[in-house]
Amino acid sequence: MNELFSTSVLTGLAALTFMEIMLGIDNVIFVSILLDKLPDPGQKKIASRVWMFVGMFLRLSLLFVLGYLINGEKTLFTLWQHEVTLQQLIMLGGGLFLLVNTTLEIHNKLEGEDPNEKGRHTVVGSLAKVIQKIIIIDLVFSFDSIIAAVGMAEHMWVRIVAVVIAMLVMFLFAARISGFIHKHPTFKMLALSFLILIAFTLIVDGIHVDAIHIPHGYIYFAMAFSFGVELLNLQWQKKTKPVELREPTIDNKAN
Amino acid sequence: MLNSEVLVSLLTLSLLEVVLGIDNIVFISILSGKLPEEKQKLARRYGLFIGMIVRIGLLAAISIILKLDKPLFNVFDIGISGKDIIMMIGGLFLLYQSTREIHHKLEGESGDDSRELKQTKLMTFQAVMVQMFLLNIVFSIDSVITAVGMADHVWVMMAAVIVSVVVMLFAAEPISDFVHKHPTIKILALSFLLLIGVSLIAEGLHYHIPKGTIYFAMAFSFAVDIIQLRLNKTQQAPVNLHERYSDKDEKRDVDVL
Repeated sequence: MNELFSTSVLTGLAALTFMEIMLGIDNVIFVSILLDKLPDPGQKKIASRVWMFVGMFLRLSLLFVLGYLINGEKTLFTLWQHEVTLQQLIMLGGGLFLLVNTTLEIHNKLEGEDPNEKGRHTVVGSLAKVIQKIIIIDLVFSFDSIIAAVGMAEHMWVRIVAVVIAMLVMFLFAARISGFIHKHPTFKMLALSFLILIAFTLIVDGIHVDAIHIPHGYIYFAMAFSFGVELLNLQWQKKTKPVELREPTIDNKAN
Repeated sequence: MLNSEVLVSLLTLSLLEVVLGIDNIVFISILSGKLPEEKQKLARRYGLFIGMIVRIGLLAAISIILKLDKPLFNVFDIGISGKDIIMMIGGLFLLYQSTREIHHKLEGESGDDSRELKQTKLMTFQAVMVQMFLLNIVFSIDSVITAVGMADHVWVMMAAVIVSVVVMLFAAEPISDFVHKHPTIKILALSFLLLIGVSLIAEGLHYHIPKGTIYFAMAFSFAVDIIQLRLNKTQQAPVNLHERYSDKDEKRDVDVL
């Protein structure tokens, strides 16, 4: 029990929750823009309830499935005299997926189209259609947040708690968090940079599963250090108008 | 000596040095703009050359420190040597520096470090050279630490510095245009600087992160970005990052007003 609540586990929990919020907020904003297209407030309430329930259910079941698969030590096949296990394949695949996704995300944030333009023009029909759309979007978005959770935390309960806290915080404070990130895009970009680091550790773990396992402590430390530097930046550096990243924002839906 | 891993490390390190060296070039061109026109080209060449000498000198100095691998004291059963201390400090510095750079590029003030320079009128050739030398020292610290973090052999580090300077000599203009048009490359390079920082800290604590995998991840991520560039032609212009040193500032400022 002592080991379960050590400082390293708690820092991991905090770091992972923070990452999950940074990664998930775009999704939440995007869905809430969709929800606002429903004319009837009663329908809106139903749709957001369904969204919350389905979102949690999806993420938790993905976590359990991945967690279960990763425990398997059984050798699948032998490649160049290395025994390849399912665990390795998942780590390697997940790491590569995360690396591709994060690179594309950074690219889209800097060089992509403004998603608000597109969002404004989508026409939404009935309640069922909106819910269907939300579930699809949620499914797509939940993958990298789940892989990040697997890469960052050792214990299953830490992953679950972090994902649940992050979702609750996002549901409750979506507008405020999105406003903050819009003013301070560095946080978003730092989170993406660290996602590259997490993808990298998953790839390393996947390739050299027994020989090398990068301790999570290094990642937590680097994140905390970089976060501290960024807080100092905010204190000391002159305030200027930040770069506008290409991301969905709440303010724009009023236009 | 010349196996494929060494070649790959030379290639990725040179690439990173070129992308990180763009700021240096912009600075050199602003500084040489303080000279009469006929001397500017010469000053730019000298500037690049001074940068190379400073980096190689620093690498030589660091390589002496890296030989100090006798433990000085123990922390948690790990014998910490002079080399380990340099690695850890270097790693922390890279973490600090890349966080600060990402902040500046997104939330800082464009061209704030070159503003003062813009106001000065003509300078003498000697004064320009002295300035170039001093600022090259500042610029080269993170590029030298990056080299230590990425390569195993000192000669690879030095070769990468020389390769990047030669590339700059011939292609400074197109490269800086490309990086300006595709800010993702710059941010990706800074993200990998964070990773190299972590790897240096880990190495200082005697935990070796395989370098081959770092090269692989970098190459993979750059490849994804290049493919994305090819496939996706967006209509919208990219985000304008806020660079410390900027030539084109004045024009941009006018645009905003």
